[in-house]
Amino acid sequence: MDSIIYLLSGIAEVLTPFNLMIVIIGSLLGTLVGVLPGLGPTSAIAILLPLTTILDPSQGIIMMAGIYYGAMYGGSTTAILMNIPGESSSVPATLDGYPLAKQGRGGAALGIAAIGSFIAGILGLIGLVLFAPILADQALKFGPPEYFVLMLMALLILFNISGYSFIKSLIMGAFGFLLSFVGIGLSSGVPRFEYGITVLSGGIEMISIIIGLFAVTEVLKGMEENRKRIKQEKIKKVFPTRQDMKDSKLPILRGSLLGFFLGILPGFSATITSFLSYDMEKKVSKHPEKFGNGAIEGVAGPESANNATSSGGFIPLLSLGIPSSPPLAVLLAAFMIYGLTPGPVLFEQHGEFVWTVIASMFIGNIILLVLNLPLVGLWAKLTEVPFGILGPVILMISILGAYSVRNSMFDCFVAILFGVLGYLFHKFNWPIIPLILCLVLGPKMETSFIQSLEISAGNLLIFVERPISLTLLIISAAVLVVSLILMKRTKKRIIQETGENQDLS
Amino acid sequence: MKLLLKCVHKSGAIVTILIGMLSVVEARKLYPYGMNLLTGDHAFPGLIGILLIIAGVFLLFSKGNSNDNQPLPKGKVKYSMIFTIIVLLLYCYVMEYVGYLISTFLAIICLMQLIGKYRLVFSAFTAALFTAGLYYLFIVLLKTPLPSGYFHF
Repeated sequence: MDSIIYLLSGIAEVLTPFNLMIVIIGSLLGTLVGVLPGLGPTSAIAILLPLTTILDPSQGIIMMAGIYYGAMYGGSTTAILMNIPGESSSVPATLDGYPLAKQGRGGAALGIAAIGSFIAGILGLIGLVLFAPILADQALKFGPPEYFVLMLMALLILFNISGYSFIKSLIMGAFGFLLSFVGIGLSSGVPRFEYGITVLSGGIEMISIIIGLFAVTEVLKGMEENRKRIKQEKIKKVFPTRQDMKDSKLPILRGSLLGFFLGILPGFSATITSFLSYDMEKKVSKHPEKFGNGAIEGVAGPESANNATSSGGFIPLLSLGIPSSPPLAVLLAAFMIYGLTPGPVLFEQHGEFVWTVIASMFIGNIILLVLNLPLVGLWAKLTEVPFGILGPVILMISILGAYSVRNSMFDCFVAILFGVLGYLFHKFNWPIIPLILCLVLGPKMETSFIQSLEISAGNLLIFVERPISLTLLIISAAVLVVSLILMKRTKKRIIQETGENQDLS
Repeated sequence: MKLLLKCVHKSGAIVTILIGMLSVVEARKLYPYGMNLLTGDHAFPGLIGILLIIAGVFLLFSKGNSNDNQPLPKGKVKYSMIFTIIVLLLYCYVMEYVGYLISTFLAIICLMQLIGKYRLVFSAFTAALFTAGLYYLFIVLLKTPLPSGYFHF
């Protein structure tokens, strides 16, 4: 009951003119970046994060959340109209969305994707309102050893979702940790990995690394692929027919529930849940032969699962401080930039802030539905912006964005360096997701580790002797096994459908 | 191709081992500031360093995957990419001396020539438009103190 009251007061807070404008701008900016081929939600948050630093923390996070779910929505536009999935989680949307577009029903497919995403988003948020405070309350019992075990296991599970060799994921994760160590030591105050270079004692700004790895790398990849304007199918009618709605009702519901419950757990990315939903719909359908040739259920289910997974991921992020996907890891970095630490204490100390952010997501989902359906034509037009103009603009915003975080030119050089490294990592199949996750979680994990060993006077057994941490270890091991099995299956399906390996996070 | 794959794979392993060793050396340097072997600022770098060395050795003796090596770009594309990076580096370096306006305008023209291969007049017009737009966004709206250089603009 308390949650509902807090939520209502959050909604009242969001409905002030300025906050409402922030939600609208965030959702539209996210959709704008999401529809641009090749740029996904992680790149969207990374590129636009520096631009939000002028706002106060709650407005900044409201905008980032809007950018996140706006970008998730925008990804399906290119998938359906141009057969280009912005990220692997949009691949299932291409399987039936593009055939629908070719039949002149692209508008209906986009409409169903928008309605499905909206319903899934709202269901996910209801789950967030109900479960996040309970989880946060339980998490108050956690001490440093429990947190360390939780983060360690979450990382191991998340390493799996990148779909690359585990040993390479481990190495990249360790590299991410090392980058987070640069600067003043947490307990002694002595500079680490500084080598007499003064600027390194301030640490390496994680946003610059993220901007480099995602935005700059993406432009280099685009240059190599020589991205050209791709002909897209014409959109006739945006609103789905009554029959479309009837056919999509149950797939949306099933996709939302599946996506939400798996999305809470780390290791079940939106790619896994959207493929699971697609296969499930094909199995339960009376006309499985329609799938692949333009079945509206094949768009409704996966798109709902995709969005519900994104909403579900906010539960571990807000209540435990654990990101369950790369865009949420960047969002966690955004929280840190604003001086906030997601976790149970956030609910206690900044309750008003948390509920305003959650309320903004409700409003944001409504705005996305109301604005995006009529704007589908405009978004589709934007995908025609030539890469020759888009590339330089992305690079300039990236460099100036990296500079604006600490007003330091060193951060711009870091962004360029990591842009080149990101491109080479992509070429030689070294996953960047573990690097990002460990870079963001590094300081938190190190603090928990040091505190745990201070409690136990240096005894490592503290991590398995305490009942909660032991339980967390056992649950995590079970989740890891299930996630490994599902990962293998999803990898096989992606190769079946696209003929190539893709990053599955 | 097989030789290149092997070479990249082994180089990755060796770099991993070297970074691991660097981390262990740093941990040793920090050890006197810690409380005991596992408590202090040295502990995590030490553990991560050891992990990197072990993982690097493991990688050194493992077989690379054929997917692990996609061909690097050649010819014009390769040079465009290299020059784009050079333009970005020069942009960051020069901005402190000539200021935001001139450096950004020139950098966008160069990047549009490299990435889009547009005509100079069109590039200059677009560059002027985006320089003004980014000026408004970063300097007016976000109040970012971007360098104004010798010319004070």
